[in-house]
Amino acid sequence: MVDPVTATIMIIAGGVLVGVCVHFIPASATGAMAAATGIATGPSMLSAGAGLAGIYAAAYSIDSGLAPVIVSGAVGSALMLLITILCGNIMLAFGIGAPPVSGQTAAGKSTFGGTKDIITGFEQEGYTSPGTDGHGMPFQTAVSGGFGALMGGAGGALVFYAVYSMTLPGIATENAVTLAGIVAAGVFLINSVLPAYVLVGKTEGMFDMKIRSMHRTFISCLVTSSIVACVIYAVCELAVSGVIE
Amino acid sequence: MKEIQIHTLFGAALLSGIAGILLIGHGISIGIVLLWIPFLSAANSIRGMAKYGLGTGNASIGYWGAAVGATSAFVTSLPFSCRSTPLLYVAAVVAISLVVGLATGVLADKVIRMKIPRIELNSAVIAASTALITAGFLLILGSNYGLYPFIYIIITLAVLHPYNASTGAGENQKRTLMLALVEACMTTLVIGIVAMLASGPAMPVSDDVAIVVVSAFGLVIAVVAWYRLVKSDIYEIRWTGYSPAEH
Repeated sequence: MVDPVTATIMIIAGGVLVGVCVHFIPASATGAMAAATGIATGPSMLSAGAGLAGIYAAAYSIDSGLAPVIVSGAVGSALMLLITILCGNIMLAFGIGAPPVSGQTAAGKSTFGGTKDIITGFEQEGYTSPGTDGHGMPFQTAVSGGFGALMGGAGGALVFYAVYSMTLPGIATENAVTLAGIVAAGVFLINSVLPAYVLVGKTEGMFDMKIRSMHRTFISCLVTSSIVACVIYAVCELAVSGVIE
Repeated sequence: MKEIQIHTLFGAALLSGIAGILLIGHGISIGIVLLWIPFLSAANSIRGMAKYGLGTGNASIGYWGAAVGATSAFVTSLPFSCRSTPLLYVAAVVAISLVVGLATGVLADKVIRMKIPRIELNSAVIAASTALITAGFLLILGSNYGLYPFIYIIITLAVLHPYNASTGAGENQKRTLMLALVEACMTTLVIGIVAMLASGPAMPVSDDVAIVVVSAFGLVIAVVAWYRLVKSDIYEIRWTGYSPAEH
């Protein structure tokens, strides 16, 4: 258990982590037609899915203390995302014969320049189908996605544990877990939609130039999470001290 | 055709939502029909935001708005008993959701610099409307924590779907709002059935049956009215058999 003030700071930190993680997760709506690099859905929805998976994983270890909760949240979320990436790649490669290739890197517009995969060194140029912006999730994109999901899962688990600690003195344990879960999911959804305004529906993760506009996401999520955290703090204090009832 | 303004619809939603919650709080479960207007208001604001080529989908904005509203209502139900002090509870819920919604809208406008007119007003309206609906549903279903995710997701779908389904060329406010009314009736119908099955602690089953009957009645009327609008909007393609682009 953590004290309420620390829990408030944890909610803010978790909210910011959740917001920032969206920049790392490769997603693109046109990915569904193999016309862009990334998983075939909007970045916000994908991050929200990964975050919810993380919260479910975190709920299993809620009695084991803060560190196991954060680790299991992060790992659960990363597992969900990496399995999605693997299955997406299998379908794209063997279903429609499109090799995983980063469109931004192939066009020389990646964060570090050059047309090669940063980690494996595989050449990307020439593998992009004409008229598309890459397809599938090549290695660097998958690594970026895994990293982002670790951050998002950890952020969701932080919020989950903080709300659980705050509400536990007031209500029964199983109710506290349910309430903490739905509030953590709410904080996740609030923060993961804000970056979508910056990303405009498509990102390739940390090797996409859009990562440079992350400071805007950071500030927005910091302010939003602070307001939400203060509200949760005030409300839980009221409930626990029993001023109203 | 003149469109209904956001302010007008939100004012109506606020008044009817609060009246509905007070009625439900005093044991008159039929007050749930007054929660239909907040559904319309939220769907209208999602339309207002998503119309300008938002950086995120209709689904995301619906999930976001309902997350703000539902989280405010859930968290506020901890200190303020929604049954013994309904007015205080509603005031707190509306205030919190308005502040969070407004703050997010201002941030999206000023820090992220989205060029969407009235984004802050629309965010606040979505958040407050969904918060009112959540508060009303919580009163009917009682403080059953296991039902919280269900309440959240059912409101989200009813709020985001009308514009998502009606969008495209020829979309107009009247038809979108009529579809929102259809889905509002459907949602209260489901809530009535769930309340009947879960038989809420304070509300007798006859009240839940009343919700189901009124919602089903509303659903039939709304579907007929909406289908008429659809037919009158597509009359050009209905009798020639060609899509508008081809003639």
